[in-house]
Amino acid sequence: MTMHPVRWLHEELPKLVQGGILDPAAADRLKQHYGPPPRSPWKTGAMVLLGTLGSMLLGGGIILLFAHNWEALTRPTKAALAFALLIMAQLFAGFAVLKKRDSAAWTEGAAVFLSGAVVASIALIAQTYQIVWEIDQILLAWVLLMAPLVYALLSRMTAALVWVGSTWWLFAKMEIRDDLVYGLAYLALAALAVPFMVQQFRSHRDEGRTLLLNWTAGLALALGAIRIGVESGDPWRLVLSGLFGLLFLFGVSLEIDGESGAWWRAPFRSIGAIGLTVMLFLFTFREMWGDDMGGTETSDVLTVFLIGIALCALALFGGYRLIRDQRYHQAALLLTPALALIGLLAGRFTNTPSIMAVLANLAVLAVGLTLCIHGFQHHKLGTVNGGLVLLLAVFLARFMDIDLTFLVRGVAFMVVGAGFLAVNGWLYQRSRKEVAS
Amino acid sequence: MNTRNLMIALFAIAVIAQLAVPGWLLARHETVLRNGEAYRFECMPVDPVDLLRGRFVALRFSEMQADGIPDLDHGIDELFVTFETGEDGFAQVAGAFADPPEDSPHLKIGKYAWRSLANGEIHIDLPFDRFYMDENVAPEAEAAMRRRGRGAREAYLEVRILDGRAVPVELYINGKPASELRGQLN
Repeated sequence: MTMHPVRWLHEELPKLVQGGILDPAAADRLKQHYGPPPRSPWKTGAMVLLGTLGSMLLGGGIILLFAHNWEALTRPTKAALAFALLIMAQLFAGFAVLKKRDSAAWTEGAAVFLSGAVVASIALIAQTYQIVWEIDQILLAWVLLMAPLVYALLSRMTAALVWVGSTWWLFAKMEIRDDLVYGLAYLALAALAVPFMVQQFRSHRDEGRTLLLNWTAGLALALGAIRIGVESGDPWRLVLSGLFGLLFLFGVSLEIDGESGAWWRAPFRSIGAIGLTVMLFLFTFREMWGDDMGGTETSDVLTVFLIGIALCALALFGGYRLIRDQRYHQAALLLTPALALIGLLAGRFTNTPSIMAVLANLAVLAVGLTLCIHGFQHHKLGTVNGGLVLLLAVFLARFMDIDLTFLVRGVAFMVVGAGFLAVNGWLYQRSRKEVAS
Repeated sequence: MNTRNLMIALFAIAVIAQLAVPGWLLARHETVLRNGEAYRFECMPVDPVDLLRGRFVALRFSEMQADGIPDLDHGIDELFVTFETGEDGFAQVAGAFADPPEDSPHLKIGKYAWRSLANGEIHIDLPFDRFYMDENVAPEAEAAMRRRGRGAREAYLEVRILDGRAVPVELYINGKPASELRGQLN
């Protein structure tokens, strides 16, 4: 690792003074001119991590302590404790806002601690007064009261908590009433953190905290999409594949100069791709194309169908643009929303489930091969393996459907496994040769 | 206003809002506890856990019905119920109204009421379905109530009602507050 020039200068100055090259006053003037050496990024990262973890544990411990529901404490004492905790956390955060704005460890730690104190004080008052509040009401209050802290303390961890709280709220709310309108409310709630995320993404794209925030947001969105998809009744295939398709396309649009970076640096793209792939795999089963998947009773099914169609159409338009840019390996994943749309159109013909399952198997074959070819061409072992795993998974699933003896199955498994190892070995050798040359 | 002042102002607003929400909750419910009318609702406790608010005793109440509501113009979302104390000492529904009655303590039922398709009667689920208590006592209370058949234990929830709101005060088992029954139930 190369040393930061200012740190290097600070290490060199005493030697220069000792060697008589610089007099101490000049050395001091140089030190003053360049300022103190910056902390190493890993040190800052570790401090932020420890500060945040410490705050989370402290806040969590206090919540659990209160949750014991001390019978010895009177109602006013419990109420006073709730406020004391909140005010203490606010003073701590106020100090960070006024005096420690440049220390990420302080601002992140204080913001997370205050976020915990907010929910703890509401929960404690609710417990003390036996308030008939459902958990979704507490979560909604929590997210709304926590959101300003994201901007006041520029806290990426709190922004991640806004996503966690919003998603938890969606699950809690839909448990009580499965109306899809809450899906929109969820997006509006989580969107409170979005302007801050955009700003952080522009200025600190590759920092660990930004990645952590984006992974949290991506996973929260995926969970939210699944919850909404499950509740959307018959159009679930359209809604879910459309949502995953758009998440994937959003991730792709964030790539710099069209370069696909490592999967862990692109959370939205990775989570969207996994969602699309898993759905495509599920589509290969005949049962997934049946009519009766349960679902909502409160929402207008026709509206949900129209929303699902719109989501898929948008995803397919994105897919068309990817094809235009010759990014076939990414466009192939959008076969999932395409299948969902075909399934809707083909719904009027007899025996649709079987036809759709066959089409889905062909689509998996296409995606797997496209990924393998792209991986081979660009020497990406991970992409090749992704394609192979997909092909293997669908092969094994179909193989299980057919009534064969264990002997035949065993031999087939061995052949496929050996093929897998051989391809990997060959690719590894090839990449080593390339590195050597 | 520069960015720093904007952040400080935002923080100040957040601080006030964070204090206001629990403060508002406290004030609302303290009023009911001080000025509300007390009723006893016979109940059956079971013991689950709430992740945020600790252990509570979930309560099952005997089914309550309200009939004879002449005009329910506002739909089932707006239903106001008054209670009276029966001969057994427990609360029973005295009347159900589409508008809040002015001179008697009433409870807003809203989403906790449903209309029977069979006979058109209004069925009421009481909105206070839980009682938070010490984590050591809650399972004991529940275990004692499970054996109610053999030991014939009596349980009721004392609730204060005012202006549409209800605040549970204490859960009683065999005439004693459940919080005082630690170690005495088994």
